[in-house]
Amino acid sequence: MVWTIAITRIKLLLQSPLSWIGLLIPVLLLGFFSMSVEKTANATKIPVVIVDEDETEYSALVIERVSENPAISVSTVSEDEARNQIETQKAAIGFLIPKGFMEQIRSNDEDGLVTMWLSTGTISHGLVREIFASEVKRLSSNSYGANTVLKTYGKSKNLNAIEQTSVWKDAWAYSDKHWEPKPLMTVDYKVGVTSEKAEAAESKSASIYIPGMLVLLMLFSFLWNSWPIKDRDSGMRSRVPYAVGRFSLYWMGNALGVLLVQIVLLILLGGFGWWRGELELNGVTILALVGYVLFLNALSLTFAYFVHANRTWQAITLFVVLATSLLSGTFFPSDELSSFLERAAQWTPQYWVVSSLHQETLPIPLVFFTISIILYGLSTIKAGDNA
Amino acid sequence: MIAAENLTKKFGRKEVLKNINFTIQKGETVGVVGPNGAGKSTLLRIIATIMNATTGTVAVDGLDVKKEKKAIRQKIGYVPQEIAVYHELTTRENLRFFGKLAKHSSEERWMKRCEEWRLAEHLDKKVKHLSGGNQRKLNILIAMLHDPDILILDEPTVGIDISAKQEIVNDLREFGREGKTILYSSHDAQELETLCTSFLILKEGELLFYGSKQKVRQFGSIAQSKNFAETLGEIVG
Repeated sequence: MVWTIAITRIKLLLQSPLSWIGLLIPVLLLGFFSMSVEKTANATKIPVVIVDEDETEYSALVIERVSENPAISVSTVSEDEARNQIETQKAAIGFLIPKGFMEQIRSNDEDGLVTMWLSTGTISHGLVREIFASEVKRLSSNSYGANTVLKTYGKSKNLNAIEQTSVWKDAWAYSDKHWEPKPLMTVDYKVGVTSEKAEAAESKSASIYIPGMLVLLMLFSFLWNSWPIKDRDSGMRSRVPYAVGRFSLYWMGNALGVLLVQIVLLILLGGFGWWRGELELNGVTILALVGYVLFLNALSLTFAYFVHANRTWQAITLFVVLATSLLSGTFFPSDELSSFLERAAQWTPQYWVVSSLHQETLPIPLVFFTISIILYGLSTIKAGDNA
Repeated sequence: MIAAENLTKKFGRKEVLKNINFTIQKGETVGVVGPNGAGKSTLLRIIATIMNATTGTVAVDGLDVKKEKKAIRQKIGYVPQEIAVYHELTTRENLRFFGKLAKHSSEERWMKRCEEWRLAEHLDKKVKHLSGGNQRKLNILIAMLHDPDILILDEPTVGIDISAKQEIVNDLREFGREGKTILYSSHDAQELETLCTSFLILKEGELLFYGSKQKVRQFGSIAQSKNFAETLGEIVG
């Protein structure tokens, strides 16, 4: 019985090709926004050009490590192109890694290692210089350390050529592993904010994908759960329970149908997010997301019991989705706002599911499950009285 | 047999049914008549076990409507005033859906009914694309899926044209000839006269009259010369 009702509800939700597109639109929308934000983020980075004439393991390592810095955007180009970009101010700073760079580092010769070109229109040279110099210095220190170890240790132990190479490599790797590339100018870059807080804020606002996904899941849960209002208008809210014999079967069957479509949307959104590296999926995070969807289903169903008109429902949907999304602090860190807003955030489901995704703790999904069961019970009893 | 004894229904302080007593015999087709707000729909909903009476009892084939809802729902088919079907689904999908819920329904039986009621050619059309008359027919057919002994219809022909009304009334007469009991609420005196064998007339929650069609004419001081519609109109006021 419950399955018959659930399947019919799914059919009703997805009966036109347009509704299938509707299921994909959230994924496309979120993918588009996510990529747009990524592009905007790239546009705010400091443009740096590097000419690699050495083309060795070391020069590649420096370029790779410098590129990993989130503050700068690196392009490897020819010398002419680099000069052109600096002159036209397309790049803020340029570096030329000359032939013999690796050899010079290995022999601890740091004179004239790298040539630098500066653009006149920017003030960010200092930061990039620090970053680049730090990476070059790292290689140079590794080599210096390895050479020193080999000199002192190798002499006393009378090592052969193979053993010497091995010791040199080990010493180099050890030194490299313990290097902490923290250029002076990037330390405590946020004035008045502790580094711990700044780090947390950065991770929170890193992507709009998860907050966007939570908003869309909530929006569609409310839109799809408008069936109690439509069924009341059409008389189905008394006819179907009459045919089934029990109101709870009708209520839960329809809720199950909507829940299954919500789960499909979650799989699409979650899968896409995971594929793009926006979302980490494991047992706890999956449980948290399923718990969130279940909670949304139960919550919207309980709300739908109180509402009698479709327009009121649309207004409530908009209000709940916008208010909870803004208050939750999922789009921006609420702890940078007033303590009142910070406390208000803790009353939104998005706040808790994001906490659960970050902390990967089991109690939050379990709380979602428990509240959902209570809400299902309440809505079934109350709506049954007024069917 | 449907027997009501001292039946009363209150909504808050308002008494919509006042001490109603009647006994409807098996196979009767009863027209439930009365002005708006007379309590017709409330009475039908109480008999159909959708609503509980405040005081008094109603028994369907000896079963109490309050205590044995499930058993009574097997015997009754209820047609609401609204066209309570899924308009986005086809006729067939609706019949199949309610057929599955009805348990004792078979596709063979409802296909036969569809042919009798001239709905077979519209089985694969979405309900929203059917004519008003055919939507109403489907609304009634759904209540008949489990082959009930009693059919309760609450204004089932509202908003459709005369020919469609006529078709439905004729089809229901055929159903009545199968020995089924029908309770039919309507404001259309002509269709009531064609279909019903007896009448239950309500006014402001009170039972004014219950008896055969012949007795309606003799009720009160109404002149014999008037036609049935005028007679009903005068009784109801």
